[in-house]
Amino acid sequence: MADFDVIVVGAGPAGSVASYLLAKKGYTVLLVDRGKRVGSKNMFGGRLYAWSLQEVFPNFWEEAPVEREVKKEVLGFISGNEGVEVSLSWEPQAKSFTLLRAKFDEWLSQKAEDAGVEVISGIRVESPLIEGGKVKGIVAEGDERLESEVVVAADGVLSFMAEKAGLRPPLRKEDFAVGVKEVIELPKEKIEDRFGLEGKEGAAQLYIGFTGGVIGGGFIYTNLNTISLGVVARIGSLYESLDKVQYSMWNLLDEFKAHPMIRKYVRGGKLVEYSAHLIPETQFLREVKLYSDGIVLVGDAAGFCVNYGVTVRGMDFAIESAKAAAEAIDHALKSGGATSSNLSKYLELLNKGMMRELDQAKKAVDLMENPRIYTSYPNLIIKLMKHMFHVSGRPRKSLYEASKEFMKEESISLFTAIRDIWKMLRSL
Amino acid sequence: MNIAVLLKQSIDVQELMVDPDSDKIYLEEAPTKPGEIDLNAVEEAVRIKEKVGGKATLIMLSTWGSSGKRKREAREAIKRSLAMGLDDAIFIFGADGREVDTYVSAKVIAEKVREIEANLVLAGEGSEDNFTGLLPARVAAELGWPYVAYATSIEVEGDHLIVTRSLEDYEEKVKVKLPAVISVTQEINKPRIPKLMEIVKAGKKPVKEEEFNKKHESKLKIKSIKVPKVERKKVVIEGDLDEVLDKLLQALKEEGVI
Ligand SMILES: Cc1cc2nc3c(=O)[nH]c(=O)nc-3n(C[C@H](O)[C@H](O)[C@H](O)COP(=O)(O)OP(=O)(O)OC[C@H]3O[C@@H](n4cnc5c(N)ncnc54)[C@H](O)[C@@H]3O)c2cc1C
Repeated sequence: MADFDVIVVGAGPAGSVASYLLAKKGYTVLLVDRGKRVGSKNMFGGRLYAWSLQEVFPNFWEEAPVEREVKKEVLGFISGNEGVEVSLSWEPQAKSFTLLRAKFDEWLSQKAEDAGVEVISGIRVESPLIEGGKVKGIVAEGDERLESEVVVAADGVLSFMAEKAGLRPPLRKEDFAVGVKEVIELPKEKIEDRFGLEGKEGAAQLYIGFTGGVIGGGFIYTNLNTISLGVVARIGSLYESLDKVQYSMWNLLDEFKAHPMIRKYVRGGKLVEYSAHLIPETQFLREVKLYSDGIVLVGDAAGFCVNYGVTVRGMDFAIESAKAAAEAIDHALKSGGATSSNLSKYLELLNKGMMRELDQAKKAVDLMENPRIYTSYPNLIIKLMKHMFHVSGRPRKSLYEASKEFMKEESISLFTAIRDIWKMLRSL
Repeated sequence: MNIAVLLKQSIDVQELMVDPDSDKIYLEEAPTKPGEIDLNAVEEAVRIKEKVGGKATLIMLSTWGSSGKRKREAREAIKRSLAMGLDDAIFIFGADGREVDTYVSAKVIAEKVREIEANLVLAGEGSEDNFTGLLPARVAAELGWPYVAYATSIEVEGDHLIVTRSLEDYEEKVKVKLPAVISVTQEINKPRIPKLMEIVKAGKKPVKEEEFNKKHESKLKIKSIKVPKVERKKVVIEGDLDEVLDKLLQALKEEGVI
């Protein structure tokens, strides 16, 4: 007999939600995470869109350790020492929150534990237990074998579970972007003053134009008394080794932090935490098989993450996929077992739900691959603004004349610009 | 044999953050974990039990505040020690580190040792954060039992123990009649790492949770906890590589470093 009905590997948002829902349905569930403490090493940029978790825990933000509700969006364009910030203050109907993963992931796993899940941290799962081509459980460190009816691989972007179960090809560096982030402590009042916030309002600020043409940018999210500040960039074929990527990422982050427009936000702050992490690129999803006999992939392990160049969305998709996986597993176990054909319900559910949004998001991602977004357009916007505000007592060129000149300087033809704008409108 | 093992949650010093400007130490934010040497005591208890039979109970008095986080960390540590092979645990929670010095701790712990009628108390030679090394001796005093410190091996001979103590220049073998209190060193054994399924099963072993009862007054009051100041010399040596090396060596010699 199996040791558990379900074994879930990885206690990020995907793993905790999947195991919570399955325990609620009455299954025996083991949730294993390699972190010394659940969530202790997990990181992300800083913002969770609430829609998918809200269905599992209505009004979760009243109880969960979230930091601030995002009510201010800032888009920033950087060129050299100069910059433009465009800001939107609003009351979004669809809520989103800034948060810190260590606390949040621990809370989520605690929810799972309260629902009856066996949560074990500090143990690494080495591989799926495969017999006769089917996944029968897991092999944990120390060559310990545990059996289950089905395994949920929620082990994140590098998912060795998925790879060893033959559900996705070995890693290539083109399949990832990389992000580095610092958490900087500042008094609550300072944060509210500097970012123009009141009470528990939060800001999400994104910046492009300083990456030297590399697809990527910087972000700032305000927490209660810290700010999350970081840089995301495509690895692509730019670097030979991950070490070099890390090195240049930290340099990029330092540059970003020192920019005259940015440094005023962090002045006097204390660095309390730093971390780096990979982000799966969406095109990689095409090569992933989402399930097979005895195993289902959820969250980053399945590639359900969208990197819009600067902002990354993955937590909400991780949670949504966990919900679909739990439902599909329930269906399969009630229909005679976790065979590949019974588990196909998973894809069916995804196709009816979040896949549509994911597909749409992919189009936006294609758009964001346009290198002009990371160099020429920020330059152009800044030049135009400068032209508008330049007063010297002498007549100047009309805005139209000036824009033509600036576009030439940035080698953007009118045709290219119109095409870019058209593409942008179509994909958004 | 009826063994009581003492385990203390220590601040995980490796994850302790300090603000060099204000000297603030982020004690609350730092996680706690079982002291390494305490785990040697747990391991030794399990080994003795495996050899001569009996029962081993964990006693934990939690001393780093009473937040939910501290409670979770402590429960996790208890589960791990139970997974290593202890039978059950008593968890005394709610004391603040500043309220309990070793005097109070020893009184509380000795009471529990009597309650479970243990005839052997095992503890680490010192905790990882405070390292006063006083607690096992004080427990022995409270109980009126003999105390053998710094054990590097323990053998059971009927109702006696043969304890080897490793001292700086020589090794001492002591024969002690039970009941007794022994503190162990890190050399005594290598704590086992429990398997996943053992941890799962340990979750079902009995843990008695009790509120800390403030009936004893601490004799020692901690007034402040500060970072030791290291004054930097702030010397910059310039020149080409050979020159710099010479000057550096010279400077180090002058300082008596080499
Ligand atoms: C720089 C950056 C910024 C981001 N910003 C955002 C953002 O603002 N908003 C957003 O929604 N998303 C963001 N994301 C994406 C988001 O972090 C992920 O999509 C999300 O964390 C995926 O959740 P998950 O549960 O699938 O995996 P993870 O959160 O990665 O969790 C995987 C878990 O599995 C465990 N694990 C791994 N291997 C093993 C093993 N062998 N054995 C046992 N346990 C194992 C790990 O310890 C970890 O706890 C960002 C990502 C990065 C890198």
